[in-house]
Amino acid sequence: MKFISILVPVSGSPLDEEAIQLACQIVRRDKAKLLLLHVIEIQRALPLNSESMTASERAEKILEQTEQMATKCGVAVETDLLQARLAGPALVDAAIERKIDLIVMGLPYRRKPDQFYLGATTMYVLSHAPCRVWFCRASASGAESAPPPGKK
Amino acid sequence: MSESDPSRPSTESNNQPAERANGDKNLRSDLTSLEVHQGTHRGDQYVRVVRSDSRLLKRVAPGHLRATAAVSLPTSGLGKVFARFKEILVGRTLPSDAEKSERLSKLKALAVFSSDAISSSAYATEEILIVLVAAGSTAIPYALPIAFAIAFLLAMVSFSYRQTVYAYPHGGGSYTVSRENLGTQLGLIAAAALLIDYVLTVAVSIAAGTAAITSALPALYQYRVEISLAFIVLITLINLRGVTESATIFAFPTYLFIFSLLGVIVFGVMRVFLGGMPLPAAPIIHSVPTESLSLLLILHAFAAGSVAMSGTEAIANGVPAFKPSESKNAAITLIWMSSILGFFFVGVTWLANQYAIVPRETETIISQVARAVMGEGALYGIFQAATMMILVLAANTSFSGFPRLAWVLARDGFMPHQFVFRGVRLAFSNGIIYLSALACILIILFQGSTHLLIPLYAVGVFISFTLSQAGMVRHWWKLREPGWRKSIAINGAGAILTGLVLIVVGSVKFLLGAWIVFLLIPIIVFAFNLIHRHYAMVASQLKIQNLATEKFDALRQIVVVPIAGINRASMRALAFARSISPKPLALHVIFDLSEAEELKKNWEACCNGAELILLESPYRSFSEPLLAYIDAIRRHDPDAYVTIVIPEYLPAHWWQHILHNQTALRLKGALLFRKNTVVIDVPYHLEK
Repeated sequence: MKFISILVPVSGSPLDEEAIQLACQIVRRDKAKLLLLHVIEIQRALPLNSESMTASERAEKILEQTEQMATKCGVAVETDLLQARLAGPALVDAAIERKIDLIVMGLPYRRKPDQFYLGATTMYVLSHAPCRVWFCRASASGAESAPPPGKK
Repeated sequence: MSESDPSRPSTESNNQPAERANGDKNLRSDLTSLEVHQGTHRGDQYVRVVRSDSRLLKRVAPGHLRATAAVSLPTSGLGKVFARFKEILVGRTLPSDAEKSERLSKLKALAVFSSDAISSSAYATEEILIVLVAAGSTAIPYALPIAFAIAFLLAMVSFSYRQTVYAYPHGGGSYTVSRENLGTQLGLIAAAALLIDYVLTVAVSIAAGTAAITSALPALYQYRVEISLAFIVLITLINLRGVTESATIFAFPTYLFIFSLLGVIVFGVMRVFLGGMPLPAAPIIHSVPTESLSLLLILHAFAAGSVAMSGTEAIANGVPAFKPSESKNAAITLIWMSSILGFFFVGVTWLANQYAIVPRETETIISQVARAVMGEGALYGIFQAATMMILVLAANTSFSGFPRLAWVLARDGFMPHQFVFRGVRLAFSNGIIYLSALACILIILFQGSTHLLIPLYAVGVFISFTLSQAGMVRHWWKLREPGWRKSIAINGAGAILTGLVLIVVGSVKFLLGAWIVFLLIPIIVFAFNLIHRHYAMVASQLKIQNLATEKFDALRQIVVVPIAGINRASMRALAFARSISPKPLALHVIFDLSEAEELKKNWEACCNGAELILLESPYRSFSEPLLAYIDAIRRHDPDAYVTIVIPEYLPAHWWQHILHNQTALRLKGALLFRKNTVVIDVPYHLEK
């Protein structure tokens, strides 16, 4: 199974590094291209092209840090920044447009009272992505675990 | 993925995407553009923020860019060679946020800041004995009580500076303390005294180190100036590599000296108390006593030995160089330094006393002590090498202190602002270079023999000690925090003692050369005040009193384009002039009337709409008639700006420049510094 173009969505979570390291192994093996993508979700009350200083600054910082992680792994990397209403559809549309054949995502371990919780973005990517999708799920106990939705 | 915060509106219309759906790009001022993309589902859209792919500038936030390290990299071949050479000499460029990693641990700081103080244990005892020996062998035993007195003074000053590092964690030392508590002028006196002492320290230390080499290898004596200059250049280059790296390099010789002298003293004490070597009954002095033993002689010896105190203030000046917590680490290092110095000074003096060692022309006291304790084996050779290195490295304390003090003074507007800037390795490179240049001048002037400078040595230091401690007394008096009485007692006693020492040192050494320091200090303080006055005047003229209410009217300008003829360069300049003014004037200076007729005829055809002024110059000068025309316009409208748009064609190769008469360059030079005159250069790059 040889990959040509790999997409890693980054969000500033601790799992980004793990996803990037996994992707880098594939990049080195297959001499593939690596794209790091961050999506800023824009509220419906605002124009899609509106810019938030805080969100943009955070996004640029995330992309710079994750780019450094990928560069430390010894691979060439491209970064991209999108603004959309919802991250999931934007990720899938970007993957289609850029002819991505593998998406690698970090997945925090979150549970609702009776079931494992994937999150809206993960569900959308899982069900709509045209290519293979690999997840790095965090361990059930540990720093990467995120609280269930609704709890801080 | 992130949720957005309430945002600022787009610069484009609020309810429509910035770009058409086919992805037209308009580059924004922060080098980004927005592309709208349709999603796979109806109604789905996303905007791609296309950021600059330039490796030189990275976007930090909307409207905020950051230059990368690649911005400073040269593009020309020669530039790359020079940059590589510079990198080999001083190291890779560091970003500003690496400053915290350039801080010093206590062990490294001890090597950087204490080399001057600790090295004085190599010669302070000798300075005392040289004075006492004039009164014969009966005076020699007084060396030990004098050493104890100086050690006590050292302890007082160290405790006083310990309080200074806590009270003033931003550094500045004597200057800052004096200025804030005793007034600006006394602060400047302290600063001037310290700066003089730093320069002298470099010159004298390097010369002393060179003397140690030429003593061992007399054939090198004729090259003592060159050797001294080479040492200064070497220490300068190491300091330009940054604080951390220089500390790493200097740590080895400093600790080699510390441990080897420690070994000499401990072993020497053991041999004295446990026996093993018969001690001489009394020192053997071959010269005839020339003075009687008197209080004046004792004070003279005390003044001579007080060179041991030089360098004690360096840590208080350099508190910001320590790792957090800066004040605590600086205070601990200060106590280490003073303890080591005091122990070494008293130890060497005691051993000299026990072994009946007296000054000799051909050998230093410390060398005699080491030889008496260890013999003349390999250990003695290592000790001598370590002594030579520490004497040279004593200059390094000045390379830490001078640039930092210059930085503080420049920050306060008393020295040129160029001393504020940090170099590629975050060192205060301008201060380092100026210090080395001044020291080189002294070495050359005195031909590497600086005996005339030694009497100047301690005067500046004791001026700054006294002012600093007096300032701390006032500091505690103003604040009256818990424990202020004890603090005032310590600082007050220190101020009185160092003040007395200053009187003694100044009196004893006045005619020997100290008068130079007393003359230089007011001159330097005067210069400080002149510089400060200039910066204050500049600031007052530039300052906007009230940002909200002060209005700046649009400028009236008259745009003039001097042209040599109708060519691509002049037409481009004229097109530029039209973009900033509706009615630019083209001005042609005539040397040949026939050419002018030709120009007039063609002007109507090509440049309709732009007014042409013909200016005859029968005396064949170009700039003067043009300047006269500009002056005439300004006399008519003194408040208007005259903008000269100069067409300049640039040859494709650098060597082709000599084939052209550089009229544009001469004109720019002539227009420089003229009031209300703006000069715009419109280049036209030739390709062949």
